[in-house]
Amino acid sequence: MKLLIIIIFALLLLFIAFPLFQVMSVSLLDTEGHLSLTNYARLFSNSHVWEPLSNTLLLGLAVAVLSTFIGYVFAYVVVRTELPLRKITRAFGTFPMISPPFVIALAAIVLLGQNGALSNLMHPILGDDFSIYGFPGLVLVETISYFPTAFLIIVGTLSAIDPVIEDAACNLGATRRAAFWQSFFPLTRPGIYAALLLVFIESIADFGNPLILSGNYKVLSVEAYLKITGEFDLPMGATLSVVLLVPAVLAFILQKILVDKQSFVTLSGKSSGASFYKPHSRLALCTLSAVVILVCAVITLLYGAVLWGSFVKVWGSDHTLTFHNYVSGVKGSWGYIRDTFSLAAVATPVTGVFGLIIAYLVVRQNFIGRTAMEVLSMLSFAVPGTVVGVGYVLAFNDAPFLLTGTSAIIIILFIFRNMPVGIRSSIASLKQLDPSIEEAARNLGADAATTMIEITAPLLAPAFFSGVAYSFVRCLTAISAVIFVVSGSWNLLTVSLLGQVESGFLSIACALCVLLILVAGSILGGMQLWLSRVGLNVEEGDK
Amino acid sequence: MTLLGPSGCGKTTLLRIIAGFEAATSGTLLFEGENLNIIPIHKRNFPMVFQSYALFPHMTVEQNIAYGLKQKKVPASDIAARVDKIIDITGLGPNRSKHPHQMSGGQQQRVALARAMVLEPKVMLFDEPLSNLDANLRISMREEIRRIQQSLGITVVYVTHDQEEAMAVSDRIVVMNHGVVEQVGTPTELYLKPASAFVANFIGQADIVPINSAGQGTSFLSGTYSTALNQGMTHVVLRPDFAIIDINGKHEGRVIRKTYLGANWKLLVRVGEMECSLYTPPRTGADIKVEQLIRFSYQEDMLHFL
Repeated sequence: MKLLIIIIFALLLLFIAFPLFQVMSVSLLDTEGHLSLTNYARLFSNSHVWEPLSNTLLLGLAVAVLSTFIGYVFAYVVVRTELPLRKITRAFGTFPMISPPFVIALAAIVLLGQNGALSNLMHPILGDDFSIYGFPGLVLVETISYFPTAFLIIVGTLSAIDPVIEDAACNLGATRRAAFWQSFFPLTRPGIYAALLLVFIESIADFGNPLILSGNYKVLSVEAYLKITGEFDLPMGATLSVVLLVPAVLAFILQKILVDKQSFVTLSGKSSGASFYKPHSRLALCTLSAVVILVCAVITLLYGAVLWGSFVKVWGSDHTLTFHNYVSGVKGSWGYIRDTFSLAAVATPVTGVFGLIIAYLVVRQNFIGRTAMEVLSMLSFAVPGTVVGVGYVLAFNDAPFLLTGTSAIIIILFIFRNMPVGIRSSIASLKQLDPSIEEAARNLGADAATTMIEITAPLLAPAFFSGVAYSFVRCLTAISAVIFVVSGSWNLLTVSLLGQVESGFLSIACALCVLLILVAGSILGGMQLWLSRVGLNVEEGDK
Repeated sequence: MTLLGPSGCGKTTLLRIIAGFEAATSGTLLFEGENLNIIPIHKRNFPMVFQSYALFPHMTVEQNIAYGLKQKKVPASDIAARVDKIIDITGLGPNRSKHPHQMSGGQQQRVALARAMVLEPKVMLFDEPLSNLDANLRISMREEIRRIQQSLGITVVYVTHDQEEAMAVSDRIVVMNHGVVEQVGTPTELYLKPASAFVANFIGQADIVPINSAGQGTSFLSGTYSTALNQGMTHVVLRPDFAIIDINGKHEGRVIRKTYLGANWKLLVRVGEMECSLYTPPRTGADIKVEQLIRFSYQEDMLHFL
C-alpha cells in the first residue's frame, strides 16, 4: 500500500506538477538563465499583453453571466415545472457537451461567415459592421458550448432543495413570487456562484473556438499557442500561459471557498419529497418557455448548419447535396482517425484504473498527503489546456524525459487530463457506498485485497465504466492541450479538423464533425443503456 | 449480553473494537485466553449484524449468506447444505435468489442475520440491528432473534440504545455512559437494584429523592419506613409502579397533572417541595381530580437506596 502511494505521487508530480513548474520557471528565467522578472516586464511594458488579457477576462465574464442565466432557466424548467418542454430541455442542456469544442464555431462560420447561409439574410438586421469573427461571435459560440456546465451544476443545486421550503413560505403568507425570490432563490446562490466561476474558467481556457473565430479579438490561449508554434518564443509563451493560469486558478479557489461556505442546502433533514407545486403564473411560464425555445432553436440551427454543411458540395459556391465529403473526409484523415482511436483506446483503461485507485485511496485510506494527492490529481479542472500543453512541451523536450514526438506523450497527456472525471465519479460513488458493506466482508473473513476485488470493485463498476466512456469521448474531442504534443508521426483527428477549417475546407470539416459527434454520442448513449440494463443506474456524470 | 446506553456513550465503539474495526487505545481484548488485539479482522470469526445490514447489493440472498463460508474455504457441498438449513430457519426460502434491493427491510434484516449465523460462530455481534425497522416489526424481530439465539446457544453481544429492547433480548445488560460502564447485571437487577441514579433513570422511570434517617428507620417525602439505612445512603429510588394509593398512606401530596396511558393513569404529585409520579389503575385514576389531595405509600420491599 505504501509503495502504491509513493508510485502514484511520483507519477502525479512528474506529469501534473512538473510541467506546471516548468512553465513557471521558464517564465521566470531571463536569457542567461537567471531568475528574473524580465519576461513579465517585457510582456507588460508591451501593450500587446494587456489587450489579450482584458479581452480574455471580458469574454469570460460575458460568457459566464449568459451561460449561468441560460443554465438556470433550463435547470428551473427541468426541476421545478411540469412543462411538456422538460425532456427536450434536458436533452438540449447536455448535448453540446459531447461535441468537439470548436464545432459551434465552425457552425457559426457556416451560418454567418463570409459565405454563410444566413449572412445575406441577416445583413439588413446586423448591419455592415457585423462580423461573426470577434467578440459577439465568441460570446455566442462559447455560451452555447459551456452553458451545459452551468445547467448541470444548477440542476444539482435545485434538486437538492426541499420543495417544502417554498410551500412553507406560501403557508406563512408569502405570495408565489415572494416565495421564490425570498425563500428559494437565496438557497440556489451557491449553485449560481459555482456555475459562474466554472464557466468563466472554461471560457478563458477555451482554445478551439477562439482559434477559429477570434479574428482580431486576441485572447491569451491563442496568443500563447501562436508565440510557441509561430514564433518559437518559448519564454514568452510560458509567460503568457502563467498570465492565463492565474485567473483560472484564482477562480477555482474562489469557487471552492464560496461553495464550501454556502452549502446550507443540506441543512434540512429528510425531504418529504412529495410537494404540491403552487402553479406558476402564466407570464412566468411563458417567459421560461420563450428562453428555452430560443436557445434550443439556436442550438438546432447551429448543429443543423454543420449537418447541412457536411452534405454540400463546395461550401459557398455549389450547394448541391452530396455524400462525397464523408468519403473524402474519412479517406483524407484516415491516419488521424486511426491514431486518435488507438491512442484513446490505450489511454482510457489506464485512466479509469488509475482514477479508481486514487479515488479509493483518497476516500477510504488515511495517509499523510491524502489531501495533496486529491488536489494534485484534480488540478487539471482548474488549469487551462493551453498551459498544460505548453508545460508538456517544456518538460518533456529533453533528457531524461524526452517524450516529444512519441505516442507516449499523447497517451500520458490523455491520461492525466481526463483522470479527474473518473476520480470525481468514483469518489462520489465511494462516498455513497456504505463503509459497513466493506467492513461486513472483512468481518465475514475476507482479507483487504479480497474485499477490494469481490466487493468494492463490482459496486464501483458503473461509475468506473461511465468514467471510462467519458474519458474516451474526451480523448476524441480534446484539442487545447494535445495540439502542443502532436507530431508528424502521431496526429489527432481534432487537430486535422482544425486544419481543414483554417484552410477553408468547411464541408469536409463538417462531415468529420458529424461523424465525431455520432461516435461520441453512441459511446455515451450505449454506456447509459448498458448501465440501465444491468440495473445499476448511475447519475449522469457531470462532464 | 447487551451494551446499553445513550448515543455517544461508546457502546458501538466497544463493539467495533471487539470486531476489530477499531483498535483499542489501551487494554487487552481476551477471548478464551487468547489476546485478540493481534488478530486481524478477518481471522476473528465474530460475525456482525450491521445497523444498515450492509448486505452486498450485487449478490443474491444465497450468495450473501454463503460469502463467509466461501472465505473460510468450506467445501461447496457443505456450503450449499448449511445455506439451505439457515434459509429454512429464517424463512427466506421464497427470496433466496432475490437481490437485497428487491426485498423489504424486515427481509433484509433476516438475510443479515442468516449471513452471520451460518458461520456457527461462538460469538455474534449485533449493532443496533432493529433501529431501521418500524415499531411492530421491531418487536417481532427481537423475539425472533432471542428465539434463534436460544436455540443455537451462542453468545451474542448486542448494542442498543433502546432499554425496552435490551430488557427483552438480554440475559445480562451492560449500562454505559460517557465511555464508562455504570452497571452490569440481569434486567431484573438493573430495574430493581440500579447502582446509580443514571441507571435508575435510564432503565424505566424513577424519582430519586433524598432521605433522612428517622430513629431505626428512614423517612422521605414526609413519610417514614422501618427499613434501616446503611452508611453513605442518601437517596431512594422510587418507581411509579410500586406506589399504592391508600387512605392510610404514609405520604400526602397534591395531584398537579394526570395523563392517561391506557393500561393505567400517571399522576404527577407534589409533596412539599418535591414531585413524584405514580401509576394507578384506570378505575382509581379516573376518580382522582387535579388539585386533589391524595395519600399513598410505596411497597416497602421494593425500595432501593443509593
